[in-house]
Amino acid sequence: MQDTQIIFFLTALAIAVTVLHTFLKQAGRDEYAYLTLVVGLAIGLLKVLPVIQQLFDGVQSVFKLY
Amino acid sequence: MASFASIFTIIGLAIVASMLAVFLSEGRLPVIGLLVTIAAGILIFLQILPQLSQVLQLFNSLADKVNINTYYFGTILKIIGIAYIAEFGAQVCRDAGQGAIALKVEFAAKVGIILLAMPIMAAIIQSVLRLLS
Repeated sequence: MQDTQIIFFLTALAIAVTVLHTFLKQAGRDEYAYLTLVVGLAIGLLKVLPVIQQLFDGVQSVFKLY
Repeated sequence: MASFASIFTIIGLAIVASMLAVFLSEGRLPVIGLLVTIAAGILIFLQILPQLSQVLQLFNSLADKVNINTYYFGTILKIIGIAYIAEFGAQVCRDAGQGAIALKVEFAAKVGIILLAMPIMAAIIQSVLRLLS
């Protein structure tokens, strides 16, 4: 069940990005605040992509879709 | 016994993921909530994958015993797979609020299913024609 870690990782990522975003916005660095959102989204996507690949592989092998 | 334990695993995973997704979708980065939904759906499917393949093996051996053409059974299996994966993708798009893209995904799946079912329909029509003549 180590795959479950990804859900908690995504939650922690979102919280960290939110805190950073609020901090940078308060400091008046709006462009950096937006950049944190983009980077957080990219990291999340990169983490989820292998899981999606796993799903496609599983469905392909079980239902014999080639 | 394995299936008995894993239903509780799945329910726990689903509840935790739902709470986290609702929590995240109200924050600054709602897309991460969507990612959590996708990850939870995939993890649940990966949990039931071994049992599903057991069931399919049983069906396969039954089809062998009663001498159904394995080509037809394989086609039905492929159709179920396409329907499942397309429904998964379409539901993710619909959760994100993109109903139009979800409809296109479903349409593509329908085209693929029709394409797979074409030889079976041709066989049915041929046998009807043979009965008529």
